[in-house]
Amino acid sequence: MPRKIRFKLNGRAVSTDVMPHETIVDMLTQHFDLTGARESCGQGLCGCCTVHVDEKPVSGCLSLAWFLDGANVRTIEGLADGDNLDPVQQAFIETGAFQCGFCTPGFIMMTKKLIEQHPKPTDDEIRHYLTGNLCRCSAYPEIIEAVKLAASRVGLRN
Amino acid sequence: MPAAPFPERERIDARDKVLGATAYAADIPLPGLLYAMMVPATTPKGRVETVAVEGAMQVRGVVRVLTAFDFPALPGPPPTPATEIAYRGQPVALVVAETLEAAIEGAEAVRATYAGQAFVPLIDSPGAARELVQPKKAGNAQAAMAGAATTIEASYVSPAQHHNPMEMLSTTAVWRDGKLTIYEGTQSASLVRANVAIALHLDPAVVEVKSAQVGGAFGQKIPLQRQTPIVALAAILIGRPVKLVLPRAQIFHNAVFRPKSRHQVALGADAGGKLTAIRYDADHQQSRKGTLEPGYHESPPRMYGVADYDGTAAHVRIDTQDPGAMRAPYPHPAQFAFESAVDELAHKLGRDPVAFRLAHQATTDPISGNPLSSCFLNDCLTEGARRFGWERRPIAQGAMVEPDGTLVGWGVAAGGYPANVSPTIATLRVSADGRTRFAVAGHEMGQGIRTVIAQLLQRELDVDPARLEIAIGDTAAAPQHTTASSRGTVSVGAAVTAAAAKMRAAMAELIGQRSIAGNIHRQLATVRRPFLQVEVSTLGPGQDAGALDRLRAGARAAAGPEYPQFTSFSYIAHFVEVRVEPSTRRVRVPRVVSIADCGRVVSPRTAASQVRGGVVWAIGAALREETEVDPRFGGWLNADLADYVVPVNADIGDIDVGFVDRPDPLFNAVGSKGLGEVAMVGAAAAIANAVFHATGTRVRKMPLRIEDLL
Amino acid sequence: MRPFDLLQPKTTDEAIALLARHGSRACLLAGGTDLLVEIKEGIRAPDVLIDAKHLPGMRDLVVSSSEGLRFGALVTARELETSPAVKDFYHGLWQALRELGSIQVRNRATVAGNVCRASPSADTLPPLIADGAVVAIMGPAGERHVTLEDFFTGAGKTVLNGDEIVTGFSVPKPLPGTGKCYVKHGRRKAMELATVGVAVTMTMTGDTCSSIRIALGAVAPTPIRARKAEAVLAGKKPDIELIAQCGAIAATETSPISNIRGSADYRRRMVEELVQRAITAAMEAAR
Repeated sequence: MPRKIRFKLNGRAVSTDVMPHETIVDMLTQHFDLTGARESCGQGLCGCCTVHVDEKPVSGCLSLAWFLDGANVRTIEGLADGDNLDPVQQAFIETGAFQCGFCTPGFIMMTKKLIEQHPKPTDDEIRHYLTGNLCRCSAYPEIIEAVKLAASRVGLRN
Repeated sequence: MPAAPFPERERIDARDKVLGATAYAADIPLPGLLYAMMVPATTPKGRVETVAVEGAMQVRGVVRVLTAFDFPALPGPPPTPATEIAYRGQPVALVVAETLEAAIEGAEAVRATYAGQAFVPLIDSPGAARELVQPKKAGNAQAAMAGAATTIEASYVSPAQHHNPMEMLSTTAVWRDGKLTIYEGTQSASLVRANVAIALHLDPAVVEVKSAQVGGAFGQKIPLQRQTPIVALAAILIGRPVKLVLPRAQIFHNAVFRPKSRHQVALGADAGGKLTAIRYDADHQQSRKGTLEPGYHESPPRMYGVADYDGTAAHVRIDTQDPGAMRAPYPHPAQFAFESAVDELAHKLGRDPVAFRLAHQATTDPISGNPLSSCFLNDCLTEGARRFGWERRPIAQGAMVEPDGTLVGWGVAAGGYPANVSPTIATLRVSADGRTRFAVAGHEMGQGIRTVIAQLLQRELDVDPARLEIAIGDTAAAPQHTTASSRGTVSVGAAVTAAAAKMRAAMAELIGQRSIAGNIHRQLATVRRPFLQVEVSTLGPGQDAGALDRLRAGARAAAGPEYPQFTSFSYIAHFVEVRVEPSTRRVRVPRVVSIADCGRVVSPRTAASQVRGGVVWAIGAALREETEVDPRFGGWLNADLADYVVPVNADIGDIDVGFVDRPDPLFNAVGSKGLGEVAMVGAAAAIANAVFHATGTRVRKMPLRIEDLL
Repeated sequence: MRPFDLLQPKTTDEAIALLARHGSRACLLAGGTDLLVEIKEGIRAPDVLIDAKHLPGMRDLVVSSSEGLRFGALVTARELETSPAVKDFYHGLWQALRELGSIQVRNRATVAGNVCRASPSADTLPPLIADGAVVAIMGPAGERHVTLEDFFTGAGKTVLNGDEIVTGFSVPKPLPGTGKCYVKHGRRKAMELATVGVAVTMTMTGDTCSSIRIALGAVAPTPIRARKAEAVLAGKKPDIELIAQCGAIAATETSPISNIRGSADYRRRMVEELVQRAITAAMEAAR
């Protein structure tokens, strides 16, 4: 049986009916036309489906939407402020930290949390934090540059 | 006049990608969409006796189940469900439902029975059928080898591998008003169109294929995908759009894969230490009816100007799904073997492996007898050695040891990849309101073809990049070549150059003697012309109009690397540092320098990214990636990303990339050659050579097993 | 994903009754990071998931040097990992937690899930066994406690009955002079199932090893104690020879398999090596 859940999605109060087996990715795609978080490995290894639930990054393909009632959910689509990109997004563009872009939303959502927790991240901290995100095009060196650039800008702003 | 160096620019599609707004094939929203799930065969070989679909039809939401009996008969092995099962995982049925959950439940409820047959799982199993193809020969290698003062001979192995782009294989098909539209990630939209038409007995004119953004491909998406005509027929029979996203385990079992290959290499050098003879026998894992050629003799003869070459190649046919091209399909495994062998020879001769290669500058292709259009491999080697600090390398093995016992080794290897080109048919429209639309063949898999087109258009014409539409990967926009074999940049380069020239001529005619200020859009507005449109077609060197017909038909239309007047290759040199942990013998690659000769670099940013990506692929290939056949039940043992270990961020160290950036004006007007594939070629050998330098152990089988170093 | 119903009991008794009623058709849901993968891959096909989230006490986490470590079954791996006291006093466990999947997964995954799945290569099991962890189990007959070491009966098999629930764990407080270490070995640098996992918890009194527990993962159908190896060091003054002997004996206590991640022989050699490393690191930490 479906259940109505009410939660905050990218800063907006929303509600929808979900089935017990629906994952967050299923729900975002089918109920809200948000496709930035995508399933790829289906095992919690690749990070393509990363979203923030109550400020924590989680694998959206391994989290049930059922439990989102009352939660605060942020997806890649909610990161920019209108036309103004988030510094992380801007840094990924400037360093060219992607090729096909399929994994990019997950990397950006993870980087957002990384630099909150490690304002001046070392290479090792970056590599450890991002181990759950795969980029088969292998833009890893550029991604590390992007994280550092974003961290330096966020550091300056604060 | 070949172009001057190009400036570094952001990717043209970067903003959409960081916003999560890029729509891949499975993201296209469609009203009334149905979901599908495939039922895979559970036997490795045999005949389907019965398929019971009643259980599936009872699942709430299931609309229809398609089996082999729904499809038209075809000569040869059909790309649709068939009663003959050639490999484990082959589609037996497709369940279509209102929801994905119902499709999954329905697929689980389909029951098939099989008359199983004995099967041959491995290339060294009894029953594996060896099938020689035409040998590649130049000069008299037998005589040269007999006269050689120093020889080495060794055999090398490259494993089966799967591409695993992050985007899953998927097909979404829409049948509306007698027209079939297919959305899927493909490198070959026109080929898909032609082959779906054949499989379903349709007129190709009613089929359109759209693949605007591909989430990585690496060769996996070159051929017709097994699911495409099945999903298309479902959409036609039901009259509603149908989407199938293959679960990753099904992708492992139905997509093409890099076949396992074996390489026996013998090299001979004369008394002066010059490489004079090459004998090279290769074979690879092949399905019973597969067509991927064992084309391993592309690169080795073109590297070092050796006139005497003797190459054989064979299929080894077993019961498996069809193998296919995976990044640098032949040169990666071939150059792993060949460049390891070159290292072994240099070692036996007591020569520095860089100096040894530098002494063998190639100018001629021994196979065709024609000159090479350009070869700056020695520049790659020299610049790479300089950046890497190669002159500090001790010649002895095991001479660099860290205080904790870590063994350090430095290795070098080179790569070559054919410079190919496809004919193109392109349309360029420039509008007075500031818009520009360029429609051409090409698929954006992340390599940056849109960025390359934008770079070239902005150089050739003063168009507004902010309002530039690049229509590619769409059979409705232009006939689509297979975007593979590193031919994308070269092919669109020719198209842009030709279209821009024609546009400039048309503008000149329109404007006449007047002098009008502003960019091209402004000029059109001034003369009150809403837009100008030109259409061009281009051919590769030596090609005739027949190539355009083949392009339109979705058939093989590309040329290269042998052209009437010359042979063209891209080159690269890789320098690698490995560190081998003292007791666990785990191998790390903290530092790589790679210098490429791909002619003129059109997009410095995406080019460097391609090389780094290729190097990471080689690290994965050399150290970890292998798909293992299940010899008991057929299929693959490690069909997921937990056990098929692709490189992660933590595995990757510093990768310094450089380009010779000298144009090849003989090959084309822009002077560019391909890059995405050559980027990977030779890097695995450089790693193995570095491991030898660190440990004294020669690893001739990829992936390197830590056990081999104990 | 295949459809299922979701039940959300408010009390442990209610959850136990639901488990008893639905039997093998039901699965208990903790973090879900393993269970949902298994449902997606068709390894399990439950009709009912029983969500443990609302059961009392399941989210409690208490940790200090004086009281030891107690945590409910719903405490996530990331909560434990980010607790400074866990890092300080249960360092082997902390090291293992950092190897458990990705941060995204650790924000959902639980140690209880890791334990109940009983995979021989699960990272958190060896350090918890080395630390002497005890599992709290609730069933129709009430509560019982089983040491983690005795909890596993085979690959994927445990002493848990179908109508029992793991409610939490308690780990003894560390004795003064105790050092801990977990060493994981895999081919890739991260995100991989362990080829070998070694945990050591040892207490030093002066130069003497007053107690030591060595637990090994991925080298037998269940995680195991290397008791003969422990006996080599217990009560002795560890030196390089003794530690090497300890590693060699530990290797003989294993029964590894060969698979794509490594051959049996390689695993044995890695046990020999990594046991020495883990002991050395634990000794250094004990000072």
